[in-house]
Amino acid sequence: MLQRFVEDYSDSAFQFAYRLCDDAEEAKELVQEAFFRLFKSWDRYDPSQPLEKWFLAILRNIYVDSVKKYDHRNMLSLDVPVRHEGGEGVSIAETLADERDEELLDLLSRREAAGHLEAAMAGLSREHRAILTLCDMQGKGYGEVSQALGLPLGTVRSRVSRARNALREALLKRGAGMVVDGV
Amino acid sequence: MECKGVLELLSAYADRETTLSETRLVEEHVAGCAACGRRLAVLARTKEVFSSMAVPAAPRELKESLLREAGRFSARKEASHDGLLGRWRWAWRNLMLPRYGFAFGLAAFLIVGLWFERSGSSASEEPVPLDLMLSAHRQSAEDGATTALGSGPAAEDLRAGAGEDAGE
Repeated sequence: MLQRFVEDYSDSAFQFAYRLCDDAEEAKELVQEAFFRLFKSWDRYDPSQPLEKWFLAILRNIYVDSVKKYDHRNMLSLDVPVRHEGGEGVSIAETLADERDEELLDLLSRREAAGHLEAAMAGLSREHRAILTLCDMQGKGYGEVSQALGLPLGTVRSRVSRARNALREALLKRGAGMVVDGV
Repeated sequence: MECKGVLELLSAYADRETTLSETRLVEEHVAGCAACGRRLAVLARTKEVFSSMAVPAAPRELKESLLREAGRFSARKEASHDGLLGRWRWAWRNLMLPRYGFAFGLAAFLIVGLWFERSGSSASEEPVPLDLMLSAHRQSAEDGATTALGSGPAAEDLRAGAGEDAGE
């Protein structure tokens, strides 16, 4: 049972950890610690519960450990207003739809769209990366994200929205850079 | 509704996490607003690209180390969980023990509480005054002397004599 659990979930756990710390060695360490801790409490495993529940516990361990260990890097409070170039400090959530979305659609339709997303993700805060990895890469629902990150459902909803706005800004910067470079 | 209000809902809408009324609100607004429609298209496209991205596999050495450790733990657990006895042990430890523990704790608390209550009430009884104790003692001594005279003929004489003395 435990071996099957490792086979089924270690890749997703590694993906999550890797997105959080952007370093394969740190990610390995986080995953190992999270799994070992789970093995120790395997005694309390109830066979009638889905294994997915235990995987959420793994994700939670990884997230909490990453915040504890690598707290000072790339941390940005989600409630701090974001200052746009040449503009007033406005909350990310208040960023309005504009013509630049056309530009973004074009960027995301290119073959190298995945590479742009990867690069834009790397520049985001750990909280944003965590929530986008779970929601968009692993396809988790808000309920599962709430369990994995230990956040209320309403907070998950607003944070997903803020994380996407931050990603949008990062992508637009990349897009603008490409125009300047004549790509 | 203004774009700002809808923009806050678009992300949840793209994830199918809006309520029925929110869904209706978004759909009605987007049908008449090209800017919000584009924003929604960007969100949907971003999700598409994300989901198409390959999941980086866990490094081989990490997987091997996890599997090794998992094997060690399962072997240890299986040794103690095997068979009906093992299942009973699991159920006892995980289901019964916490309940019995709680019941036992509660019972112990009640017993200790009762014991304190009782010992407290007996300690609060008023002490008997010394003169009352002495008079009771004297009374019982007198009663004892009367009884000690017994019921033989000599005792009858003594009582009669005592009666005559009283009559005089």
